[in-house]
Amino acid sequence: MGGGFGSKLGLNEHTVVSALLARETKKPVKIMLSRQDNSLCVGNRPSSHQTYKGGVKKDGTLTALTLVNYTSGGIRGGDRVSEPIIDVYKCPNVKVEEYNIYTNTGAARPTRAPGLVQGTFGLEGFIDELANEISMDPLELRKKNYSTKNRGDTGIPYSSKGLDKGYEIGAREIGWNRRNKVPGEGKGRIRRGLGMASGIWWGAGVPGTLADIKLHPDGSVEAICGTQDIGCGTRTHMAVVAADTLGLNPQDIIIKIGNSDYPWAPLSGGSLTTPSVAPAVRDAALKAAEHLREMAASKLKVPVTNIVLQDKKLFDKDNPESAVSFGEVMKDLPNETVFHGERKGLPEGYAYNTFGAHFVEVEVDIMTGKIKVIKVVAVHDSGRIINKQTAESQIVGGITQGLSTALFEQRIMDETTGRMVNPNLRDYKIATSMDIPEIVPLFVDIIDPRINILGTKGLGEPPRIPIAGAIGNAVYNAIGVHIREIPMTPDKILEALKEKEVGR
Amino acid sequence: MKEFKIAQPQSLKQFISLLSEKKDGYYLMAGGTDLLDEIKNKIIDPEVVIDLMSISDRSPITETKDFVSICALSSVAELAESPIIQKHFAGLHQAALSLATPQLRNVGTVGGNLCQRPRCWYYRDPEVFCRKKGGSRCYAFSGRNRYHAIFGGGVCYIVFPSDLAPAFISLDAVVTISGPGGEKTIPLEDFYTLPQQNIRRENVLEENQFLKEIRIPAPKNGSKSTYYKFKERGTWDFAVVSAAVNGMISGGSFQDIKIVLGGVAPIPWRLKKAEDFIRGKQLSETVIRQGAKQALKDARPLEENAYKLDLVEAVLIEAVSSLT
Repeated sequence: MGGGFGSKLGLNEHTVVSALLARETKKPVKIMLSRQDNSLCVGNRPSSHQTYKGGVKKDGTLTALTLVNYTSGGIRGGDRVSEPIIDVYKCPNVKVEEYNIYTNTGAARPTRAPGLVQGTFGLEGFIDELANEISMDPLELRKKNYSTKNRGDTGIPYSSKGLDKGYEIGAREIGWNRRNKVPGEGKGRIRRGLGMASGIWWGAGVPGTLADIKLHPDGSVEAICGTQDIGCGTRTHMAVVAADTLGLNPQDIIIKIGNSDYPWAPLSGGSLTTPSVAPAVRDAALKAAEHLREMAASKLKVPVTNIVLQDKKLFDKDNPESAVSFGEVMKDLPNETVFHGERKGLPEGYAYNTFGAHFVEVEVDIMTGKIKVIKVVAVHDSGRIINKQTAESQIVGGITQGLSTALFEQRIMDETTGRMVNPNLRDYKIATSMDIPEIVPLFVDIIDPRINILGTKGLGEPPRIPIAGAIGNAVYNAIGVHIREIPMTPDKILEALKEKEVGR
Repeated sequence: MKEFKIAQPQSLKQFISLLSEKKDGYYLMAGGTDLLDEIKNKIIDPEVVIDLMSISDRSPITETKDFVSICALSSVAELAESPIIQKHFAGLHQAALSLATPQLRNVGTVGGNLCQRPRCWYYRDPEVFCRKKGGSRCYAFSGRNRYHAIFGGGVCYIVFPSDLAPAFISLDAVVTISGPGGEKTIPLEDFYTLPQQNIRRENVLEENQFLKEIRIPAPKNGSKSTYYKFKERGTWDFAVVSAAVNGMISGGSFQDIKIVLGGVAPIPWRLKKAEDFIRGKQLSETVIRQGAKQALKDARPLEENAYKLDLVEAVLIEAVSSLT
């Protein structure tokens, strides 16, 4: 129940206990953790302390970047945060050092886009500071160092990368030219600012994922896969893909998931469910469609290649009058018939990544230090979008979560007692509906030519990645000081403004 | 949670006779939004919970020539929606609306809000035995204290979390304290006590007393009030710093002004030095700021809460200038 966000990918004492209890009682067991339990024993996103250095020419060409990261994941390792600095921008010289700090505290857990959330906040803020140093538009600096190959343009080509298109769409939608040309140049108590950040993630899906389509003589169709739906809209995308392939409506498809006896699928993490499961369903559905087409061809006495499946009918494309209904063809099936589908391999020689760019407008009250996010425009490259509604929801959810950590969320630890002082929803502050701005989710709609038969990439984690950096950069543009730490609470803003005043 | 008994007195009379038997382990519950939290978090361990909502003789918010009276069992939503309150006491209306969430305002009562326990995270941690719970130290003093007191601390650095109390005090409200020993009426300002006086509780109520009614004197002609609350997020947040201001302006200056802050001290904190500074002067942002600075000389911030000093200035400027 509830969101996973990665924290449930591994075993916990309570998950083992529930499995044992279920075996013992032969009944389903529900385990509920209170917020306090959850804060104590389920694990957190590891903290990260990053130091950046970089070289940039006056024309904006990046010459070198370095990162030193210290991360703490309790008794387990922390998160590697260097992916953005290694990959995102064209830069011939990149050096990274990452260190784990082990402490006698609970083990860290993957939390929606592990490592890249931290690394993107660091790198994207640093890029804006560099842009300010050379008095360059930070978006121009990013465009200037655009890469089409991975490892800072020194590796293999991306199979598809629509980040440039994302920059263009996002800048237009937010009105990028309204930003302060010099950070903090606005006057008055309420300062407005615009900022943006880029994001990269994986999300190619897992080759070898299997799914079945089962046709029944009574006309019913099942799509079956040993995956689950933890909020990624799995049921929806399976139904959409199967229905689209078979000329049916999504509600005509019976979805069967959540059982390990079903065809193999990977765990739900790493933004890989859709690009793993949907192509497997498509593969199976194509085979089922071909079979039905053959049956219809012999019934209608026309060549198979002429048969089209559409609107619950199979008909001759040269003579649409010559048609037979989907149900009529299915009646001729001798019994239930299963078609196996597989998500095939990823062609070698290419890098498979998802991309996104977030554009943010904020207001900062310089008297109270309070940040108000006015608008977020999020443009994502996740290949073909299978279902727009669930995809947009995924973006709105990721931004809500990221905004909340950028402005409010903080695990406050007490050194004397060794305890977290705010293990409740009163003191561990999460954004409320009053804090969520207008969010505009957009897609670049580039179909990846080789990633899988649908050209689709993952979207679970990408919307969580750039948002905090984009808010930080918008605040920087508004007040002329870059806040290098989240959450950006009023005390930190007031402190930064004071430091700016005394010229430190 | 241990088992406990619930007593449901049907009338005020029954309730008062129950109070004469009250001893340790007996707790009064009105809306329960705070008490149940304390029970579930194992901060208290009641034997008997006396459910005040079963008392049927409750009066609505009423207005006479001299005062407006509010039964302590009125819900915060009733207070916020009352046309009498909206007409005469804008500040109190704003305070009621700023409080918690619509769900909590529907259930929480005015009396409960005025008698709630502190939200200090050390006090609310069942594993921490701090001074307020009879222990020997205040963990906030050298611990995590971004939300703690900048005024009136010393032995204990809680802040009194109520939004209504500063608003009521700014309006010179009085409260009726009742119990088996009879009734008395005192200014709400005198109802609250600093930790130095009694570390275990936040007000003057004796073991078998309760807060029965709140009365606000009829507003003087030309007086205006406001409540400004600075919270970190859009809703469902206690005040980091808030200000209730009530006063009378003529010719661009306050003839009379009363300022009470929330979120800065173990009790609602009267800002007399700022009042004295602002009173009579031609109002400007500079005057308000200087007034705040006068009062802030008494502040003793801890390691993580000095930002509240800036917020006091900001909140005061916002509140006071909104009355002009």
